[in-house]
Amino acid sequence: MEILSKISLILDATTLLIILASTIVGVLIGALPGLSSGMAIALLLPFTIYLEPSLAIASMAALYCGGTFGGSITAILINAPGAPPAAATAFDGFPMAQKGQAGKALGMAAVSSVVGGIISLIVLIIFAPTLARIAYKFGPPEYFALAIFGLSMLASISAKSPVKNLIGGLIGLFVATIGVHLTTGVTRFTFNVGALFDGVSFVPVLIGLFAMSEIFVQASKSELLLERIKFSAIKLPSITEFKNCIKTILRSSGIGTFIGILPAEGGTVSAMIGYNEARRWSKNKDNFGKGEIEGVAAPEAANNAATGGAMIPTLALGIPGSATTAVILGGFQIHGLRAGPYLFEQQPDLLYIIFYAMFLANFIFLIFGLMGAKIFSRISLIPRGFLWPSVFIFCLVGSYGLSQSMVDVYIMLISGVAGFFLRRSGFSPAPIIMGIVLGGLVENSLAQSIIIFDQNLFMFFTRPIALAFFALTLLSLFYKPIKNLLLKGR
Amino acid sequence: MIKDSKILSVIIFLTLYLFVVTFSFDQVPEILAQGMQPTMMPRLIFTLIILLSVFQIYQNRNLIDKKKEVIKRNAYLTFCFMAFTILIAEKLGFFLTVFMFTLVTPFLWQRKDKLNVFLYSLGMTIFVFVFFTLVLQLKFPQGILEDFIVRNFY
Repeated sequence: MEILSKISLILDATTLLIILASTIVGVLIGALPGLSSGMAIALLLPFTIYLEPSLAIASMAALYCGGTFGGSITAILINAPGAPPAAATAFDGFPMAQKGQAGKALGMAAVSSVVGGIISLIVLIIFAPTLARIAYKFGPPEYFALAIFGLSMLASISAKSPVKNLIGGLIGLFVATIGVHLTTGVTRFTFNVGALFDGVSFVPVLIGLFAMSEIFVQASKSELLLERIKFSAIKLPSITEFKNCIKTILRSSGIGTFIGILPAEGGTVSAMIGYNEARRWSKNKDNFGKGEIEGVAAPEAANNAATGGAMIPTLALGIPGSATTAVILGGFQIHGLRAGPYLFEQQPDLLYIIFYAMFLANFIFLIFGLMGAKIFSRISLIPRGFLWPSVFIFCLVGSYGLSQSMVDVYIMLISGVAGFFLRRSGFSPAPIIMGIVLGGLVENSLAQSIIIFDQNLFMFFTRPIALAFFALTLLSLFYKPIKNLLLKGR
Repeated sequence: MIKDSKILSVIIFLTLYLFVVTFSFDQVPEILAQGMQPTMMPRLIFTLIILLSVFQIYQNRNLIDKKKEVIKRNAYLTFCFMAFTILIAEKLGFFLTVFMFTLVTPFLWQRKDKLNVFLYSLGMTIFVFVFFTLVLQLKFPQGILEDFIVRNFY
């Protein structure tokens, strides 16, 4: 078993300490309403430059797992989901807490999160190398078609406006075109600003869209009075309760892993679908929303399963499976790594390091999440007047720190303001980030395809894999309108 | 007002402007362009953005905008103060900027406990200085404190 022999890759004090610290920071940040794991990674990304590339990616992966779980603590205890994927957990978690079952709800959330996380990691370790082997056969036309499919999935999966998501993705593609065109040396949209010749730095845009825009959102809100639930101890679910929920947990883990693989907003959507499916199949349908333990198990298993699922296309194809993995992919670029099939050839150990980092993170948040849930829930009660100015300082330091340039700070501010107004109008920052990440791939693979096809774009039809991706793109874009049209016709 | 027409109109307007900007790009010989002029991709993107925005306005034609949450004075003040902070950061120096920002913003966000705000501000500045400058060795603009910092810490 090759995988077991690779455990030595993380068995040194520094690596274990970094994974431990990242998971705890992830849980802490995930527990803070408004701060998501994506934002946390965006803020910490510039400082990972001090770490070995593999260690930096491992810390981001651990933070991703911790952050996804962290949201459930405040969802259950104070009805304020730390992050969007935990929103569905609050439906039944908070009513359980109000009934004096906070400990049981947190216990079930932790156990189902771990089960979901581990199942998706097993799928990751089996499926990612297989997918990478298939991707070896991909040429530029296939990559172009795949990137277009990735962008089109934004429209079909997200719960928000599909058209706005597509526009967001295109805005991201535009941002990626700023700077000197690599093939021809022509400058595009630089407006004679020298600092833009190398293109817009990814990190300041990321920090602006995720963190700065959230500060503006928070500045518009009043201080929330949150009802805190007192609870004496965390109680792990009993064997009978666990047995009653096991089908739900396994189903949700499957849903989460599958949706995580599709390039879109993985965690939130899979938690909602996991919750709805649990209600549909449950014997206690009527108890949902009133404190049903299955209603906690389902979204938690699903949103944590989405983390492993989302890493599959990210690692194997270089196509992000979620907004957070888009940020992690940015981390790859900063550390000079290129995700995709060649990563498995050039850095074969990286997959194992990520696998073990995420695996460990699941157990760390199980232990620390359960033991420290009381403390973590108190974190969310930090006055907003102290919390958000501190976030701004991290934005400032983070965007300046990477290239030590004030231009990056200005870009961060502009991205933050743009992100705020776009969010107010129902645009999500995730598609924009995905667009920026995929921008280079889309343009370069199209250019290379044009050369290969001798400018005859109809030659795309001679490539079966590319054709299959285009068919999937059309399906994802037009499935809903066609379905609605057919239903109206009846 | 049709739902979201304002923001979509702004997007269309900006996109049209950027589309026009692409005409100022240098054209390169076909052999160098390798089948794809540098203007092709941006123009393709802008065309799609405009088409989708128009489609979205058309699709929402019967929807009436719900009253959005009003942006509070607080948010404007915070934004202006952030912009001001960023603009003076180089001149004033990073640490004084951090101190000033963390001292003033809590009051904009309705904190009234002056001592706690002062202690928070001082603590945050010291943390940023110790962790980022002394531990991670990041070189921030030191502004008017440059001589003092260089003399004592480098």
